[in-house]
Amino acid sequence: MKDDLRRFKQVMETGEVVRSEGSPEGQNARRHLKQRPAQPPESEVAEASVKGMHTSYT
Amino acid sequence: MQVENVPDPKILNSRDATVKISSTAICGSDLHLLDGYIPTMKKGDILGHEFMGEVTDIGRDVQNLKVGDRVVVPFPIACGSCNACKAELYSCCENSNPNGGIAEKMMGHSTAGIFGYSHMTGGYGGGQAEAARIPFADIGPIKIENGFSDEQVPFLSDIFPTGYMGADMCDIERGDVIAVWGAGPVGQFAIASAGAVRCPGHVARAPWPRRGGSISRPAAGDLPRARRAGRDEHETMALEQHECLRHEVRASPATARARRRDLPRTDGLAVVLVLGAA
Repeated sequence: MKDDLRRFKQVMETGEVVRSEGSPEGQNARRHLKQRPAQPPESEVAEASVKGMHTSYT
Repeated sequence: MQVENVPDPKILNSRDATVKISSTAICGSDLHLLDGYIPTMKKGDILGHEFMGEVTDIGRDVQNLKVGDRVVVPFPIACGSCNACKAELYSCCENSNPNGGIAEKMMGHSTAGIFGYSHMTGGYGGGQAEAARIPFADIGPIKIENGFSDEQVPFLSDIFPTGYMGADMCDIERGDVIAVWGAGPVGQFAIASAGAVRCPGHVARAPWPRRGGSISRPAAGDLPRARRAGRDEHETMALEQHECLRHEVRASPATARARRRDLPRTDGLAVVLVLGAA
């Protein structure tokens, strides 16, 4: 719940869920817990992440 | 630590940019990632939070940068929209750390997101690489437009503002004498910044002579007797005379308290620049 509120605040104040290399899916809480290494994701991961985020929040 | 090939960074948010890194640095704080003082590292993480480079791509909402711009990238990632950013407390940004919950569990509160500095500060890829993604690129990066070389500006990302903040927090007034414990680059920038805010004299003490060798000379405008004194004599003299401020850099709070007890006056001000809470 707290993480949901944190992401809601991000959307309200910045317009997007903030994503890092460790959790490019952004709003996916389960995936968020299982961080990937903090290095650029492969293209397909990045594209899927962007698509997933926009369908959920925009 | 090892060098590996990884995919090129990509735009993940609309206010991102990517940069081709031209200069980067290793910070003393990076050691805390290696020795475990800062947890939540993962194998494959890219370190580095002090870097500069050339913009190679920008997100659709970045209006103030263009491809080809040279930028220095500050180590805290700041959204520019939250209460902390509006108060210019960018290192306390409330939105840039997607793993703020982890940081709150570990430290009681969250910092801003930080490049290459564990997953509890965001899990962002760092700058000890050939390229990096810059979130909120319309807020943080400092555009370098006046022909400064890479050797002249990359410390704007961390150590110069850190040292300046230490001097600024001392509320220095004309006539004050400053003692700086810790004579690494942050300490040296604290000294330089103290001079910039009108401190006529300062003392630098280097716990490690190898790091302090370059600052044994008193600064211009220092007390005349100090010009003839060695570092230890200089320090003793200043403490016995009129030290009223003390500025501890990169030491532990316990060390700072111990040093504070050594001072001859009771009304000194101690500023501690240290990573993590005691």
